[in-house]
Amino acid sequence: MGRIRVSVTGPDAALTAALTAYLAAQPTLETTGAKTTEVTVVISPPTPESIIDLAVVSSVLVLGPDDPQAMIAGLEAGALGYLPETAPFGDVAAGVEAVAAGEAVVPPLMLGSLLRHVVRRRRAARADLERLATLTERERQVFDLLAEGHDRAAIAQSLYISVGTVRSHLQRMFRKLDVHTHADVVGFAARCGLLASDNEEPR
Amino acid sequence: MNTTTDWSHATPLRRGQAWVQRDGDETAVYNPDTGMLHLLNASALAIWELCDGHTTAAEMAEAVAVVTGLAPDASAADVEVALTSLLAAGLVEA
Repeated sequence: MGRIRVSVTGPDAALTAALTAYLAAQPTLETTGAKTTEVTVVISPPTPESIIDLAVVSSVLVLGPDDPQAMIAGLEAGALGYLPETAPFGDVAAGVEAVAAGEAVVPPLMLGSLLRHVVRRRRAARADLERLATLTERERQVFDLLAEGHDRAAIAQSLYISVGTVRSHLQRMFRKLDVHTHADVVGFAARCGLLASDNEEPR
Repeated sequence: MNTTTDWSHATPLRRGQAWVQRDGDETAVYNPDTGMLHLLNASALAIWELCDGHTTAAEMAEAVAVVTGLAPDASAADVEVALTSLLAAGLVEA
């Protein structure tokens, strides 16, 4: 089996270079560029969004603050693993191997926080699905079209109804779902896993 | 050890007076009622932290499955084992 290709990125050049050198010395790993990497180690990502693009092309292991909320934000952005910035390099190397194998890596003492977060998310999703089930068939059709990005005129045309009727359906649907804007509907659909690009949970 | 508890719909609750000391990856939980000190591994600690009297064992198992990638049956079994041990140690109430 070949060695795992890993790259390191971060704002501290010295730390990035030191970790890269350490990982390069491991028999199971080889360091490489961002374009060919299997695992990207991201040190102190400035925002969770900065992880998203990296997670599309490689598995991501984040080294961040020793803070459960930062860990959850990183995992929700697509990272497969999270370790404190102060983790020994040996732990980072082990984390790279685990992430490359598709395993989730979280600091043991943050596991409870992550599980609590997942429980809350699942409860919220169940409550959303229960609200969604209260929609009439027509309201649900309007919901689906709105979530797909159609405007009122397009929804009216698609369902062979007037824009005024669409507006009435929207008012009732918004009230039932306790949402207020088009963006809220998209978010609601995403939480329910109804968008094609949805990811279920941080892993 | 209580091996007959039906955890499927239980909402276990941490004992309120437990004393917790964390040192590195180890966590010691002291139960003043029994005078016993228990060392919990990360998984047991995480389950113990979820025992708020509202979260069901089924919800715990579901969350464990999501985070670990375990099959639902396997995570349910793991959670049941952990809860049974915590109950035996007097660290949770069923």
